[in-house]
Amino acid sequence: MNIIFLLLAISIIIALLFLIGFIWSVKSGQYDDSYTPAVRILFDNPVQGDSALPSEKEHEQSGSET
Amino acid sequence: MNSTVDNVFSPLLIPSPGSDSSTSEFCFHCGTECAGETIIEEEHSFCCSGCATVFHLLQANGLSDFYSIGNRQSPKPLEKGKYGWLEDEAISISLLDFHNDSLARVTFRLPTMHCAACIWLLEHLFKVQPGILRSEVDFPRKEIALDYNPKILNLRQVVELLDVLGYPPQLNLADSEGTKRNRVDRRSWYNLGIVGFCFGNIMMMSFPEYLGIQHSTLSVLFNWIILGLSIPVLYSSRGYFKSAWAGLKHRYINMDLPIALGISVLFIRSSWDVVSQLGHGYFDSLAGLVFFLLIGKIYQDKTYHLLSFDRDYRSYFPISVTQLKAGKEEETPVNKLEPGDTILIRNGELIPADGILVKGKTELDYSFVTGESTPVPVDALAKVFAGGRQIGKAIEVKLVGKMTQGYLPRLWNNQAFRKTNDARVTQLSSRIAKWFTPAVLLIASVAGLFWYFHDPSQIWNVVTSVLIVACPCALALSTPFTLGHILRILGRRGFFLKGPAVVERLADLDHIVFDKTGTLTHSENRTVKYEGDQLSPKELSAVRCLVRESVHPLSRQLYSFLPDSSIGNLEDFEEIPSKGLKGAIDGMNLRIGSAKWLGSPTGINPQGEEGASVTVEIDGFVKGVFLMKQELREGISNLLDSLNSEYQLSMVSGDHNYARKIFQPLMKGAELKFRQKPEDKLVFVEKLQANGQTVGMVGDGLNDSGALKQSDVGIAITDELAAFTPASDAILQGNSITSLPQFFRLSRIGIRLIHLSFGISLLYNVLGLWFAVTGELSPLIAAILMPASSLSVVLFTSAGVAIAAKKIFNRKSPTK
Repeated sequence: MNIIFLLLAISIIIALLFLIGFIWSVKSGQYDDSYTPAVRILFDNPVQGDSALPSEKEHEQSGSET
Repeated sequence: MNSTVDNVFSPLLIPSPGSDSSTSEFCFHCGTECAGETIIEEEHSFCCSGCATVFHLLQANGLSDFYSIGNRQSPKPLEKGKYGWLEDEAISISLLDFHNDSLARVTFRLPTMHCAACIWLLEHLFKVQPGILRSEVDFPRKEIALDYNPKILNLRQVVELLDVLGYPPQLNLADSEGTKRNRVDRRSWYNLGIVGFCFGNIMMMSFPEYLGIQHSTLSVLFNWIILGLSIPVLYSSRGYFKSAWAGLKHRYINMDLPIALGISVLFIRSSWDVVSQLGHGYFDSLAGLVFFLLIGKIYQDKTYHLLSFDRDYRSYFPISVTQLKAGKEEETPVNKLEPGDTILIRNGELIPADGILVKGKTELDYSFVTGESTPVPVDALAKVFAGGRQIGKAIEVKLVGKMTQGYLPRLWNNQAFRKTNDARVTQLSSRIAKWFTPAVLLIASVAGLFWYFHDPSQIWNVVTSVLIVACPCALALSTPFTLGHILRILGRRGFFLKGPAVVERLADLDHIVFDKTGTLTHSENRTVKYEGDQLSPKELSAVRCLVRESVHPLSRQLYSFLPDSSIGNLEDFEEIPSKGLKGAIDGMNLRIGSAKWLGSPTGINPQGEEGASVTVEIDGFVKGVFLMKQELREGISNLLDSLNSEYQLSMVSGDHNYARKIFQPLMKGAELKFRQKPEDKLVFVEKLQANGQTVGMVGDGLNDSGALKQSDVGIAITDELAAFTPASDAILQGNSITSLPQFFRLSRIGIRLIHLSFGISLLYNVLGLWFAVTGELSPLIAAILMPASSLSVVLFTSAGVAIAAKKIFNRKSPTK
C-alpha cells in the first residue's frame, strides 16, 4: 500500500510537466490566434521561406506541382 | 464585404468564372463583372490591368495555386497609392517593430484580406519578392507580420508590393504616433490553465473522501496536497480581491465583493479544517468556483480586433502630406506642419488643417465632417477646413492653423468625450451586489447568534458555512454567459458591440435618434432620373464617354448609370470646377454640368427635390437634365414603422430641409431637425437626456461623433468594416440596419433572462442556507450544490438565449 506514495508523487510530477507545457505554449503565442492555423493546415504546399532563395524553393515546388 | 471568420471558405455570392458565361464576363482574378473593357490574356478575362498584372505576377512566381483555393473573390488592386513618404527614415522606423542591419520586422493591418486565398498568398510573399524572409498572417486581426532584409528591400517597396497585390496596409496617424497595438493579454489563459490544473487534481484527490474511505496517514497527506494545490487557485483569483478592495476604498460595493468574501472564507475555513485535522475542507468547491468564474470572464470578453470603437481624428488623417518649400515638393509628417506652410493636396487626399486655397477654384467633399454629401465649391483665397477631401486636380493650400487647432480636433475637446461609458460593468450586477453582501452577513450573524444559545461549538461551522454557500456564483456566471452569448449572436448578424454592458443599455432605450445621410440613406448611391428630350443611343454614348474622364462623384454615378456602349473618339476634353464638363465626341459638341452655367431655362430644371442635377447640352441645345436623388436604404420604411410603435424617434441631419417631405410621413410624430452642425447634434441628445430619456443614436460620420459619445448607446453604421468609423459603443453593418428592432428585442429578452436566473440562483441559495444554518453543510453537499447551481444557471440562460434568438430572427417580417 505504500506504493501509493510513489504513485502520487509521479502523477503530480507528470501533471506538473503538462502544466509547464501549457504555460510555455501560451507564452510562445500559440493561443494568440486560434483561427489562422486551422486554415493554414489545409494548404497544399509548405509555407516557409526563411533564408532559402526564392528560386530554389520554386524549383522544389514546381517539381511537386501537377 | 462581410469578412468575419465564419466564411473564409464559403461559396461565392457571385458565380465564379466559367459557370455563367451567358450574359457577362467575370474577372478571373477578382471576380467582379468586367464592365467596359475586358482584357483577355491566356484565355482568361480580366476586368482591369491591375488584376491582369497580379495574375502574371502570381504565374511568374509559381503561385497559380492561388486560384484553386477557396473562393476567387480577390481584392481588386487599387490605384497605386503614394508611398514616397515612407522613404523618410524617422517615419519608417516608427512603423517597424524591430530592425537591425539584416532583419526588419513590421506588422501591418490589411483590411482587404478576407478569404483563404488571401492568407495563402500573403504567406507566400517570399516567392514573389526576394528580400522578404517570411510573413505570417493573423486572420481575425487582419494583420500580417513581415520579416524582410533591409539591405535588399526598403519599407516603401514592401508596402508597394502589398498595394499592387490588392492589400494596401492601413496606415494612419494613430499608427505612427506610437499607439502600438495592444499586446495580447495572455493572463486570462495562464490563470485558466493553472486553475484548471489545480481543479482537476483536487477533484481527483478528493475522491476517497466522497466515497467515504478513511485512512490514517493517507487522508491527511491527501488533504495537505489539496491545500497546496489550492494556493495557486487563490493566487489566480487575486483579480476579484483587487476589484473588491478598489470598490471598498471608494465606499462602493460591487459584484466582486461577495465573491472575494466567499473565496476567502472558503480558503480560511478549509485550511483551518485541514491543519487542525478536523476534516477535509471545501477546496474542491473553491477550485470549481474560481474555474467557472474564469471561464465566464473569458467568454464575455469577446473582442473584435478589426474594429475599433475608440477613434479620434488621428486615425482619420494621413501620416504625411506633400509640402511645397521654395517651389520644391517635399514629404512632411503631418504633425510637423506649421501655420504659413503651403501644402499640395491631390485628388482624393485629405486636408489636414484649416487653410486658404492659394489659387484657382475647386470642389471639396466635406461629407464626413458636416454630413452634407454635395461637394462644396471653393474659390481662390477662400477658407478650406480640415477633414475636407479634394475632388479634381491638385490644389495648393496655405495653412492658417495647426492640425490640432482645426475644427475637428476642437470638436473632440468637447466635454462629451471626457466621460467614459464603461462597456464592461453592468448596472444590474452592481445593484444586486449592493444588498447581497449585507443580507448574507445579516443571515450569518443571526444564525451565529441562534447557535450561540443552543450549541456554541457550532458557531464557527455555521457562520462560515453560510458565507460559503451564499455565494453569488450563479449571479456572477449568468451575466457573463448570457451577455457573451448575445454579443456573439449579434456579431454574427452584423451588429458588433463594444462590450457586454452595452446589451443592458440597449435594453433600456426609449428614444432613438437617427442621422440622415449615410445612415437612413446610402451615402453613395443616388437614383438617377432623366427629364427632357429623349437622347439617342449615340448621344447617350457620347455623354458617357465624356463623364468617363472625370472623377467627380456625380460623373462617376452617371457613368455607371448609363448603358454600356463602345467608347467613341473624344477630342478636346475640359473639366471646369463647379461648372461641368466640356468636350467634343464624334463631331458633337457637348457640355454637361450645372444648369446655371448652361443658362438653362427653369422649365427643364426643377428644383425642390434633392439638389444634384446634371444638365446636358448638345451642339448648343439644352436637351434635358439628369436628376440624382439620394436613395433610402432598403427596408427603411418598415424599420421606422416597427420602431415607431416601441420607441420615440427623431432625426438630425446636416443637410437641407428638402428631405422633410420624405421622412416626416415615415416617422410620424417624430422631431426632424435639419442643418444641424455637429455641436447641435450633441446638444440635441443632451436635451433629451435631461428629460430623463435613455437615448440611442445611429450615425455614420465624424460629424456625429459628439452625439454618439453623448448618447447612452452610440451606434456607428458603416457599409465597409475596414473603413473609418467614429467612436461608438457599437458598430452596425449597413445592410443589417433593418434588423435593429430584433436586436433591441433580443437585448431586452436577455436582460429578462438574467433576472430569471437570479431567481433560480435564489432558490439554490435558500436551499444551501437551510443546510448551512442547521450546521449540516458537509463538504460533499457544498461540492454538489455549488457546481449544480452554477451549471444549471448557465444552461438555463444559454438555452434561453438560443431559443429567443431563434424565435426572433426567424419570424418573417410583414412586407409592404
